[in-house]
Amino acid sequence: MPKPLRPTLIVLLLLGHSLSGSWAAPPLPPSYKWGRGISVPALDFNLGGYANVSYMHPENQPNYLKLDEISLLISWSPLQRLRFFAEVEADDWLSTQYPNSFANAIRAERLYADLLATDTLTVRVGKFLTPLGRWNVIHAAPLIWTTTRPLVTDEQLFSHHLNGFMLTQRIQFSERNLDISVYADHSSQFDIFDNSTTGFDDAFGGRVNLELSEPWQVGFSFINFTNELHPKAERNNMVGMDFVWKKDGYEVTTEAIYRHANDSQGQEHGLYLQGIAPLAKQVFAIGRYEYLNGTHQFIRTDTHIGVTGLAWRPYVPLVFKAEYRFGSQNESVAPSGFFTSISMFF
Amino acid sequence: MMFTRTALFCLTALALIPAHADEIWLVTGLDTPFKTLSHKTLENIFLRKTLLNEDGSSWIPLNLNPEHPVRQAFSEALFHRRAEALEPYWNEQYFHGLTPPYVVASEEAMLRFVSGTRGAIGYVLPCHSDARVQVVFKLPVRDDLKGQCGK
Repeated sequence: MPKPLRPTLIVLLLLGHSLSGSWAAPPLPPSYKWGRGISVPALDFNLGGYANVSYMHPENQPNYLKLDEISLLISWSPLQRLRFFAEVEADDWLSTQYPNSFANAIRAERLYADLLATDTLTVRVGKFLTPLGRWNVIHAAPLIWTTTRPLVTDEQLFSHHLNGFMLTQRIQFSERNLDISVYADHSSQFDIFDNSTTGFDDAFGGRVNLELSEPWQVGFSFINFTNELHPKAERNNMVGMDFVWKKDGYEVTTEAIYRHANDSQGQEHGLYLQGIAPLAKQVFAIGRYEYLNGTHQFIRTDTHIGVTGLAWRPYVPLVFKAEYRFGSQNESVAPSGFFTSISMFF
Repeated sequence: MMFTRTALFCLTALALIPAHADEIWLVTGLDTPFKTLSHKTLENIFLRKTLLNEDGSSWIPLNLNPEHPVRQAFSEALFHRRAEALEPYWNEQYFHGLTPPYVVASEEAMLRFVSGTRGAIGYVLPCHSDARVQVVFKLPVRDDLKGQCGK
């Protein structure tokens, strides 16, 4: 049963309705470009999306093939200071493992309004991705390098979505951008689009991202939360540090986290370090090391994981991936095996 | 005699072409307000990290086709990367609902669009700039683009 209409939706509707005014629309015709969607410049509207097909072959477990993501990305800016964005996703709806129905799988992955308060301050209201680290906010299959996701970005560790508001201030200094975000969430009340109980009960936190120089960025994140599944459990504190360097097709990314709660949820800490190197034309080698230690969803872990694979990007919107994952004490949380996928923006 | 006249005409024409084609000029329409635009601010505008002007109106950045020599020189000078090297960045932005700047077919189309659309910002070679637009930034480029002036 859907949750009652809550302030998030009311605010979205009010923002769309109450602000008035118009501005000169660019005199360009609508167009479609592969990987960039249908664009209607006169309305500042764009409709696109992406799809992903995966074949998972974990050791000692059944293999399965699944069409695990079809997402529509919709953006619209009716006013100069107002932007709407929605991602509607059909998740895991064609799978040889868990047959699902389209009606059950479809959901609003993101739905928010950005109010551009000034040229450097944005107020976001609605459902959006939790800005903890880098992976979670760019988790779309065509953007990431591997079919599997690092453990320290797993949904068992923190909910991937927030329902509430976020303020983001950009400060420009010495030819660098410093972005500071603070947010508050009350998913148990505001998430009218998702009836699952995997989200936060409530949360608040922040993130700082600094462009050190052109290819280097470093970020720090903090979040305090309770989960909807255990709302009466102790509150969790989690801190994260992340770093990325990209140049000429090479890339190094790392994220490290530490989570702590005073009850049986315990503490855990971990990291991943991933490197990308171009091998040949549009073919890239990927290597990743992961480590997780502590109480992960009430299970004691001391897990080491290695991932090695290849990605082929013959065209900008299209990527083929294949990887092998291995490790020690990883069977319960991230089993070894062979994983492959094809992803495409459309 | 004919040859001498032709040669003289060509030399005169060359002399009329401004010698500063080692710059690309960032231009807006005459009614687009702007204050100081720094290199980083322009980078933010063309990467669509900054969507609003300081007076609260929208920036509408424009690009030439990726194959255009002026586009390539612009990309190298502003972002220190070739235009195609920015595609992974635009893939990420697409996931967040932002698409790259609109593309126009020529510098003349750029001038027409910019002069007729408040908030639009584009770039042309100095030899192609005219009174329809105001120059808001002069971007030094390493490429020799003088050959583009006759086109």
